[in-house]
Amino acid sequence: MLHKKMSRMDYIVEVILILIGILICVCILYPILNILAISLSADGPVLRNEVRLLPQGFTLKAYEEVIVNKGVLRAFGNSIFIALAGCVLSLVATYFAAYPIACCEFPGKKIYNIFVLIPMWFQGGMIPAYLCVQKLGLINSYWALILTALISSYHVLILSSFLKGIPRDLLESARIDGASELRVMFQVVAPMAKASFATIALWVIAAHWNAYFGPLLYLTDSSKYTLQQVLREIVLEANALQYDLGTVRPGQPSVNLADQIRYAVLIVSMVPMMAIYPFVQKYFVKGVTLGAVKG
Amino acid sequence: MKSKVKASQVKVPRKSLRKRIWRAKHIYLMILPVVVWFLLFQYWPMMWLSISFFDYDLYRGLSGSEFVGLQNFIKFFTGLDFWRLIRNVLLMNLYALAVGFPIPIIFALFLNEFRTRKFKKVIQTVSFLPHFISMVAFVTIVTEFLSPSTGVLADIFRFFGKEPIFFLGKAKYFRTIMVFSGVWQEMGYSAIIYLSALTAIDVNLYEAAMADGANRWKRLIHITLPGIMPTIVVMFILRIGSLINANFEKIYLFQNSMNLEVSEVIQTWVYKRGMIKYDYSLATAAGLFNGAVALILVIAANWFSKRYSDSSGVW
Repeated sequence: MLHKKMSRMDYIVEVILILIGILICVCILYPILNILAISLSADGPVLRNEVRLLPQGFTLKAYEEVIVNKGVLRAFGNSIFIALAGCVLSLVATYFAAYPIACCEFPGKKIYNIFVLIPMWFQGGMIPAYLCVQKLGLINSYWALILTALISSYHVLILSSFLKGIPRDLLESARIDGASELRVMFQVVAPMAKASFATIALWVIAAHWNAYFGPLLYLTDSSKYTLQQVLREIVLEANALQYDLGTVRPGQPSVNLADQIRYAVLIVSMVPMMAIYPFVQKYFVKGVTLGAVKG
Repeated sequence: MKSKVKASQVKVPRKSLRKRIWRAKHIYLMILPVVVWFLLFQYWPMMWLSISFFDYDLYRGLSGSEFVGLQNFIKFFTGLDFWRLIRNVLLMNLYALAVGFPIPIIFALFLNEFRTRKFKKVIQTVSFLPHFISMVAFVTIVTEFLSPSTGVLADIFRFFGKEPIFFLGKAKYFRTIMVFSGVWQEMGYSAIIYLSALTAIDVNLYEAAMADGANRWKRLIHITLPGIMPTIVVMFILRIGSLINANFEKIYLFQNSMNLEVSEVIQTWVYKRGMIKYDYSLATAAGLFNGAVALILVIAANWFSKRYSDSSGVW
């Protein structure tokens, strides 16, 4: 990048850097690979605490049990519904909130801007939010999760500061041609803001998919539980009987879940996010940068 | 932004204002749902903060509840827990600041030294991975990692002939676990901002330094580090601004009866008081206190960072 040819010294430094880099990657990945290895191992080595980085007595038994389990599957479906519905609605709502700030002139715009940004600095907090959701009759409904997280002032700030960078001439010429504001919004401006949409979509999906506290607060019916709630119960072996996983100890009412099964659920819960984020990496790197400058 | 606010106060003839409002009717229609959402889900909860001044009765509602003034606040401030909660959140965040703040900077500088872009990209992608793990999975992974029977640290202890320690069962290790697991999770993601600051440094500076015979180390100290110093200072001030904020999910999931003495913070206390003991008014008073302090800190932090660098003001 800086120079075309690398000196011998540079070459040595590069090799050292790569070695350190590999070490860092190993440190970051080790705890996850350990979990993955246990989930893929046979009973004996797991009970003897022998599994570290590689599976011992490789078997997919735990996964076969987990992916046909009704409780896990239902929770997986619930989480996917919340994440996808939440993502689509949040993108539309955030766009409607941000577009007027960036691309329109109207009396009261400054007030509207401040109105939208205040929640970034001060919020009602846990109990008041809960009471409002309760008054709206949304307890035990996915709408509680989707609607409370519908718009984030921070996302509005990021999107609007990106939209401000779009040349105004483009909008003006479309408006002069007689295009309605909605047409300008969706046919002229939206295609240019794809990168910002991708970033916000990733943030919203990750927030919904990984959320534990919101569902804990608002979902009371166990058939509505999200994957994170089910994972938590399975990890703690609380209500494990309900999930009909693992082996029943003779003479005991409780269920003993094998480590493999608990960790197989954990890996399954991680897969969607792990599959998405590398593809949108370049977008969210830009988004974070923009957010740090503006927010 | 302040100057723009003033611009809006410039007086416009009345008729013209009405005309402009009429012309913008489509825009008002567009923002109407947004405004309704903000009123319902952001501003209405703020109104509910008023229950901290009442002895809120769930069944009688706000109008049937008794107004008690500052009694809930006095109860919270003079309670046995108050100073413990403040101490816990501050110590945890200061510890995280001391360790967790410099590491992403060092990591960004490290990545920046790579000449082969492919390696840099792979390492960066790997470093993002823990950021996208849910808190439930994260806590499970850390628990397994620290397990006295199967964890890697236990292996190292045994290798040196020592008895493995049950780290999560001892309160004195709690903060260290929180801070270093936080480094594991956020190192790569927090480095993004520094990496983008690094790319903004003028390449000509490096070439001039090389012509003067400055080696890599000297270039790092005299060009690279000063180049990202403004970013470092702004990020530092912002971190100070969030000293009272705790990561609720993480603390709550790591909490157990053995570490409660050091792990209880205002948010977890609010949750237990409000959602488990149904003492809504006291919990809301504590939440309001937390929010107010956080607001003051953020405003102060913004003021400082704006003073520090006019160009990159964070408002």
